[in-house]
Amino acid sequence: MKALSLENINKSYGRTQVLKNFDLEVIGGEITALTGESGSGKSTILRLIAGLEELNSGSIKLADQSIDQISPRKRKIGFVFQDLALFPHLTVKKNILFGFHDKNKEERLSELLQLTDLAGLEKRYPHEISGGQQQRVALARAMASSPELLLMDEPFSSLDERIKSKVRTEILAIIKRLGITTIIVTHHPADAFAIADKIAILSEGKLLQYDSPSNIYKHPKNKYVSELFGSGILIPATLRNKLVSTSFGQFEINQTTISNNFTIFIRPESVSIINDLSGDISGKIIQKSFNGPHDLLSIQDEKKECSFQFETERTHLKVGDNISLKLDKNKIIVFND
Amino acid sequence: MIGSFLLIGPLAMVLTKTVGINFQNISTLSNTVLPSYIANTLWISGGVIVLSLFLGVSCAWAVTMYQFPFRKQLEWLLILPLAIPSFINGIAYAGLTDYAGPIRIALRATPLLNDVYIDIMNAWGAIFVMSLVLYPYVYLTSRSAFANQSSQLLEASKLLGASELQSFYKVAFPLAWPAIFSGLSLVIMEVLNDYGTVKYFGIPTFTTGIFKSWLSLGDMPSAIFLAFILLSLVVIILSIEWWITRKRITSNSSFSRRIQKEKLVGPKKYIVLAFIFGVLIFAFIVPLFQLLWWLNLSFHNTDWSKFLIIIGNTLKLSLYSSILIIVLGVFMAYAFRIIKKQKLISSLSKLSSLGYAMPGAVVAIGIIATILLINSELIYAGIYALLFGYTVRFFAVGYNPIVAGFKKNSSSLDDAAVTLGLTRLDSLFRVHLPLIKRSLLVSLILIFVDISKELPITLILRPFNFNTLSTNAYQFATDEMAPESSAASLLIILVGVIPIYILNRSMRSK
Repeated sequence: MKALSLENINKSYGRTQVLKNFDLEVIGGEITALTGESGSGKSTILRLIAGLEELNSGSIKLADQSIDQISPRKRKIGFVFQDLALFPHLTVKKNILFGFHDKNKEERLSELLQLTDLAGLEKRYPHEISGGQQQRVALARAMASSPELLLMDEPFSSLDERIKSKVRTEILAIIKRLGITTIIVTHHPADAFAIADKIAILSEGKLLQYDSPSNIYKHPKNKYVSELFGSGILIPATLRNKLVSTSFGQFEINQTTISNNFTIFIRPESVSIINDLSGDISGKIIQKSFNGPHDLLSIQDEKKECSFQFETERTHLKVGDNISLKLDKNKIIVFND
Repeated sequence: MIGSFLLIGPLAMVLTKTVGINFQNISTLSNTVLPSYIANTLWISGGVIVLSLFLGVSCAWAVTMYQFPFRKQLEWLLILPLAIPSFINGIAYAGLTDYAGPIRIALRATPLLNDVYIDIMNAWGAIFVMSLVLYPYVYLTSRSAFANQSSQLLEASKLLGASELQSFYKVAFPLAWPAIFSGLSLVIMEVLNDYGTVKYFGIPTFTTGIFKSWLSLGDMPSAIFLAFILLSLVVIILSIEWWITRKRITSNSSFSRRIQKEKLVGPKKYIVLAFIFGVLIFAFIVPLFQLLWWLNLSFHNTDWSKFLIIIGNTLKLSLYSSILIIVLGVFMAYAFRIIKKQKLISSLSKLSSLGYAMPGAVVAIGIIATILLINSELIYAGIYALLFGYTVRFFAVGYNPIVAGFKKNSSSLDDAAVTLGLTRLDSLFRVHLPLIKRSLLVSLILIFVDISKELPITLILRPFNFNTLSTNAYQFATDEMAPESSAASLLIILVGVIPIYILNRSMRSK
């Protein structure tokens, strides 16, 4: 069921156009991650949905009802801000109940405290609790009035790397338990992969790809998306006599829609090292670096004109050795230049 | 927007009224008193600039560059003279040096010196007493400028062959000059604002001229013309300050290392200590003891019930003005926060704060001109004109801490409040005001201190027989009853120490 739809959204600040004819449809109960580089318009989308910024043109619908003309106070949208925006002069309890105006305040508070595992902290002030607890207070406050949609703007960016993954897991568990439609802005692809049912990738105010994490990983639509999520080999190529020609070697490919100049992309798990140099592409190792569980090799062609990086299992090969790689042709992705 | 126009109205009135002055007035003034007003104002300003620059910069250099006994205590004690209004310092020093004062008594008792007579009731004396209480402005700005300079610049200068003195005037002083000038421009504005000292010492300047024209002669056009010249002088100084601070040079902070203080030993240590203690003794201890001595003499003659009424008057005026300024300041600052037009906000804020740079006499004349336009009977009908005057003059004092308080509140707090269902007005009362209550308290204290010290506006705009602490002190002194002025003077100094403590603490925490 369609919970939220953004249709043909345009937004400018002065002469800078931040969003250009932007469309997005979010399914009810799903967690969508908006990701992209700084200035790509991710946070602006959240602010437009919440009504904190005005649209230049386009329309936003929540449960098929247009909310363009509804004041932000009445949109029934919960918002968790990047800096959490907890009111420092109010206790945890008062923060959580700040926007809750029904009679059964204590009952609701107790539900939220239980849900977010904050029981016993209600009399504390924000500066008296940990970063992870503050995160949960912000979430409880946003959820207090049972909104139809939850928006979270870079919610994990202020957290220490050490506790980030733990807090992320906790918050995700709460959201999943509530089953609320959620949009999370993050510029960390790892966060998006870890939490989202769908990922929307933005660049310069345009939607580049909107799909499940696994589809984005397997079928990135362009070089930018491919590099954003996981590593892979990117090599410029041309088509000669029905063969893909690169400066590292030639091979056949089962693709029909290829322009003359293009780039091939393949994930490292679809590549294997061949001992007898009879692989599809070959080159010389010019750098080898330790990369946690893997080795990262920089491989250069014979003419020393082109190089690419290849992440592999631990290997005995060293700098100066020649290397040959076999590619799984079915997994090769072509990006037309 | 309305608030801004209300605050710059009286100054605009001085400008518009000047246009209508006939040439006869200007010509009469030019042929009679104007040359002496100009000469005395420039002479005193120049003298105070030189002396306060010397005192402020040398003390700042000493406490920043050297380590010596009592340095930490002296660092903040050197700011204390700021708590003494210059006219009170003038009264105290005049008392010290007059025929019945301790200095004259001591000289009379000393053979060969019994004919020596120290007369400070002249321009030299005015320069001396004003510099002693105004140098802390230069001291504060230069201290912070020297402390933020990278030690590597001075080390480089020394390695390149410069002596300590050369490093100071070739590197440290030029780099700190924009900051030093900000302090110096405050000194100049205070000198131009002064009425009490020059009047008590009998030196005709622009401010005494404005008073004479309006209060003695009832000559509004002349008062307006003199106010216009004074206002122009302030605008020129503000422009110079803007021009100088615009070109502020900063050293590359990412590589800079804080200055390591050199431990003073031998004669150098005693010379520096003697100089700093000397400044402190002349600028604070001597006038303070003179006032305490006078308080001892006049204690039984003082009508304490009247004194309580005067404290009540000062408190009442301060409280009403503070409420006016704070309410206006809060709504203006909040409106500017919501309207996200930065250029407009910055221009309006600067215009609204212009009153603080203007001499009190100019503000007072502007207000009289405004009230005369509405209804002349309103001028001395109560404290309304005074409140208006204080609001125009001290708006910046109360407004700046409020703006600083609002700035500390992240904009996401506004957004959070709105998404949680609050209106903008609810958000002001439920989120912002509780968070900026410390800033509001600071505003209140600063306004109270300034109003209890304020003299020119109060003297011109007060209702008949209405006194504040400063007019009380001034009135007794001019009535040749200087000892009776001590109670009010000491109380002004005592409350003046509070903002100095706040200021010093905030500078330390920075």
